[in-house]
Amino acid sequence: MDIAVETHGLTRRFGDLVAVDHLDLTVPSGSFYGFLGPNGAGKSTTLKCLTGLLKPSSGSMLILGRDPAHAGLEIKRETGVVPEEEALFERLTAGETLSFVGRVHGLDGATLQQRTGELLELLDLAGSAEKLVADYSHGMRKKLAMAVALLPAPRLLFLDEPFEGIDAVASRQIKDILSGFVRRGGTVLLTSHILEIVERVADHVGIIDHGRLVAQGRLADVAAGRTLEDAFIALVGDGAVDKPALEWLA
Amino acid sequence: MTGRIVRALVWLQWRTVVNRLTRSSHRDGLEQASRWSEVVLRVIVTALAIPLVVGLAIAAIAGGYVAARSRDDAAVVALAAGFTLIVPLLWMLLRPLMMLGSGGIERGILLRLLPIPTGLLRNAEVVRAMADPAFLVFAPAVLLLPLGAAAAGRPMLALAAMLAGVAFLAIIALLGNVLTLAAQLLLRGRRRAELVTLLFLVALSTMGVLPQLFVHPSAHDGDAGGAKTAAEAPDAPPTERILAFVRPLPPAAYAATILDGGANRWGLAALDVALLLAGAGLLYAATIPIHRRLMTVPEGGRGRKVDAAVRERHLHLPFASSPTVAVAAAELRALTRTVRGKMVVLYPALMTGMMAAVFSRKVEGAPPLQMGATALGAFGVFGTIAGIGALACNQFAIQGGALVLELLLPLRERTLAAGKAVAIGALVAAGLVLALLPPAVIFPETSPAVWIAMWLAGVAAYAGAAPAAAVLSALFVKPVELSRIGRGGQPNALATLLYLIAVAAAAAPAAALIFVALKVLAAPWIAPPLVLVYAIAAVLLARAVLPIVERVVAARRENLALVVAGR
Repeated sequence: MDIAVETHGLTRRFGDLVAVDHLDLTVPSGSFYGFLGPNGAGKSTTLKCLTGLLKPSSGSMLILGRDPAHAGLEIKRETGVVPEEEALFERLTAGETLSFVGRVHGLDGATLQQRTGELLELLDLAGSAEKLVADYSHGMRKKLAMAVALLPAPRLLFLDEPFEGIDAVASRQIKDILSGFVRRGGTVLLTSHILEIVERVADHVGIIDHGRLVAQGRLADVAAGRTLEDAFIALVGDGAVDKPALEWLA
Repeated sequence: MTGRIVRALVWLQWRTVVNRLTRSSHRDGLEQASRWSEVVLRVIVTALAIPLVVGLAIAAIAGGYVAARSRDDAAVVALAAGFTLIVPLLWMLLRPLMMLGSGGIERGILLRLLPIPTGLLRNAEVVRAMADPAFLVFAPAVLLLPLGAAAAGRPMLALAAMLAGVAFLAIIALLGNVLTLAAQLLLRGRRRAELVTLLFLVALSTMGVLPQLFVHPSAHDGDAGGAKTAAEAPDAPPTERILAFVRPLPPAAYAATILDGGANRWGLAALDVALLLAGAGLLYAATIPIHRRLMTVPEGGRGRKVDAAVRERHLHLPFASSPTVAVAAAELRALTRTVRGKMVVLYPALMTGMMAAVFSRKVEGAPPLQMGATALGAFGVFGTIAGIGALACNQFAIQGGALVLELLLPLRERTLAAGKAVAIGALVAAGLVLALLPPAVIFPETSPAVWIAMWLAGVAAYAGAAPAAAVLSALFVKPVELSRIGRGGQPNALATLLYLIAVAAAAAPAAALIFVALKVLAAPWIAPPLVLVYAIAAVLLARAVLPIVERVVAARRENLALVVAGR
């Protein structure tokens, strides 16, 4: 089995806080991997380590068979990222943003123009392509971030909450794009709080809690006959029964 | 309930300040030092303000005592108080735009959703205005002046001064509040906000020089004019007549109270106090509809169309890789669409243009104004490079989250730094042309070689200082909003200071070469080639030290990403 992303003992500390704790992640090539966990579990920190925004405190990583510490640029040429925060130039238009990204990736003018047009059309941004990003809504920004990640035709996509703030139509379009991408051999590593979406599109899942990986494998194996939500609650929410019932709430 | 909410709001204000200083676990030691350096500077300014507050308070008590002695003494004190209190009034008039960077009431989205009475929220904003430094500096003096009058045995004068003082302070606080609210309402749309800010900055920067352009030649009639003024002196209006003319202004009404009270004209004194109280009442009434509208009208603004990017052409620069040019082009586009980006290019040109116009005016009989063409050019060059510091000293944070995008792309830190240096360098080059053009046109007798040499000197100075600016930006990163003025758009103060030192060091050789060409060799045409050689050397040196910049940026990239993401 080809592995797209592999970590061994990946750990990241912020002072005394261990955000990611000896994580052993295995994302098979050509898989749609849903990376799940409660708020503050360490999902985004893991993604930031994998995408080079944060340095791991310890442990090792292999992305597309390469070590990011030594082949960071090569890996970036073959990956696309939708980060947790909005990472866009406020005072560029969508077209200018894609032009910038395309040039950095070395796309020629014709290819860039074709891909830009198609992406903006597909993500329903063509009508707003001449507006500055500063005037975009949150959902439009997310869609543009998705276009930025897809533009260089990467082999691997890291998506941190890509469906957050996206309307149902665009959400469906993005799901279709990602499913097609995986069918053609691409790999997606996605974090999301919307378990229904993950259940529908992912074939592999990993569940992280308090920085530690509590389950990983094929979706069917992790779910073990339950819905993904039930499996998730069972793995990370087992204390719920002992928690206050808020009976004072009308 | 009101007391509870007030306590909660006070606590919120306090915690916001404390947390800003202490809760930043994701920042490293250097970043903490950078933030603390800003705090230390503010503490120093506050410490320096304490003697001013004490001095004003003592002067006010003494003034109250003196005003109680006689009508003439009261007139002198009234005049001094009136002029002094113009300062907080002007500050409060300018405050709304100057403080926009701090966010003001826009922090209150959560507050708007909580069950807090609108009136209480509105009054809380008025109280916040009282925490303004100008208010805090002048309030003790205004409140202590009556003490002097009471000590001198004039309780009625003390009472009148106290009432007028309280009303004046209320007017100052309310004025600041009303204008801040009105400005926030006006500036809600991004485009409108940026246009207003740009116009405000242009107006502010030209305010000092503009009146000089409209001075009538007769004002420079030398001795004759002086004699005339002296002859008119006996007819000059007395203090009472001056005050009668400006009485509607709050400082004048306050001064008039002291004057009338000192002269035992209690009817007029009561009228002055009533005028001040009415002003305060009107301002308070004005806050109600403005605040209500601010609370109910959603934030927004239509976007503007800019050039279609899909059809854009790819730029190419000699000696620069395609990714470097891509970074430079994106930076340049984005920067020139911000208020500060426009201002750093336009401001020096505005200043040199107006100063050149002032200094070139030849009024018969008047002594010539002393500022040569070269000095004016040097002023323009320095102004351009110093102004660009707002961008250069914080170049990794000025695009906000876009830095994260750049860090996620296959770009080396060297490419990133080079691209940003090229973009800012292009702004410098354009700004220098605009800054030198007005004096070159207005002083045609100066050799064109001098202007060319100065332009090259400016480019060389920036090139020499660019690596230092990049390193300082990586070390002292600060999230900013370039379309706001005030603290919200300023880089770290220490970084700015060190950048200016680097600029001075890089500019010194170029200045020396120009001096040698003009003064020692008396051959202006030698200056451009001499400075060109230095400029090329400066660019090559900057290129040579790029690996050092790269190492610093690489070491700081994680922190840079956290800071721009607001962590």
